[in-house]
Amino acid sequence: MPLIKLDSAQHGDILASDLVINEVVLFESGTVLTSERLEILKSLGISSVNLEDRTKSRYSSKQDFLINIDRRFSYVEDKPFMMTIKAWVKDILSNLRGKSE
Amino acid sequence: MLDKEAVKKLLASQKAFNSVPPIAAPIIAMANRPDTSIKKLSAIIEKDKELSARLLKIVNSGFYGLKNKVETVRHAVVLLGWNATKMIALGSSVLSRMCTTDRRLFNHSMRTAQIARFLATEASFYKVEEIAVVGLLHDFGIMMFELFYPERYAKIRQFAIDQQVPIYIAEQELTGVDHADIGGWTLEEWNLPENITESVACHHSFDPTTYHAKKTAVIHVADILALATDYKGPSWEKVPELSHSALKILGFSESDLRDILLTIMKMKYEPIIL
Repeated sequence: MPLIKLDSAQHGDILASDLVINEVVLFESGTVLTSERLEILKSLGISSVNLEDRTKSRYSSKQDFLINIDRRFSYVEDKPFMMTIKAWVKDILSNLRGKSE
Repeated sequence: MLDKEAVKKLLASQKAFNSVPPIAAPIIAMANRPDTSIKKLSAIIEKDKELSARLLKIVNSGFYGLKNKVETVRHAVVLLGWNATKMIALGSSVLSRMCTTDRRLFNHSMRTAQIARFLATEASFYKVEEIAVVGLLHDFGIMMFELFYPERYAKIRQFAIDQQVPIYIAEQELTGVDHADIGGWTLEEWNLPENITESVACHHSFDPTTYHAKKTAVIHVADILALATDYKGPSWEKVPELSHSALKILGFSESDLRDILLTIMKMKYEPIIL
């Protein structure tokens, strides 16, 4: 998601990249913006933030999708059947999106 | 920590009352009257133009796969049945809020509904429309959580991201309950039958020995397959474990699952705006 104005950010939005001020990481990528954190950013004069898109994916290529599937299945890595399901999803996706991509 | 009593108190409060449309009261009251009919229910819904429009949008959305467009509220009510109509009527304000404030959750709910309908058809259920609507509302508790405890829910989401766990695990760790519990209690508050409340309340804790296990299994499997096949979703959203017994109770073998995955990954999903 492109940078958006802080005024448009909402409680519950998630930072898509580290928020750095004067070479210090204030909030890391993946931080959930609470109303309290939004107030802090306002008081520091931050005008825009890089947020995870609420509607669209930030992944675009087949390779991105395959890596993303691995990440989304990380909680069940020690479950053999879930790993089989993951392999099927990746295989089906590869076939549906074409080998050439 | 939260408990059922505290949450139920909130569900009965003005704050929760504001989350359901004014039409909710007559619809809940109707369920307890012996002279209730589809015609009367349709007449009440037709008085609320916004609700009528949402109901028709849901029925005509892609996941029902209807050949002909449903034009009237009465036709929609006949098609959905009493309980499904009631769920949409009572849940429409929160669904509409979900559609604007948490589009990702809304899309996941629509997708789960679509998959639940497919699984229920394959497993020879006879009320597939009702199950689809249960799928639509299965994560309703997340919106109630956010409505009642916004600051606490931001911490829950942060915990899930930091610890790399599914959101319901984070909810249980930080509050002692999860969105499935809260969703189930909400539907209980609306006097929906036990088979529906159980399938929402137990979709993350599937138990094959419960009385309504088969319906719960549909929602449990549909939810996990929706997450598993959402390869465009955020990487912090984690896929939970699928219960073998849920598959078994629906009559699906593990190898059937590959065909099911292929079918659902080919299904078209057309997002709607409520």
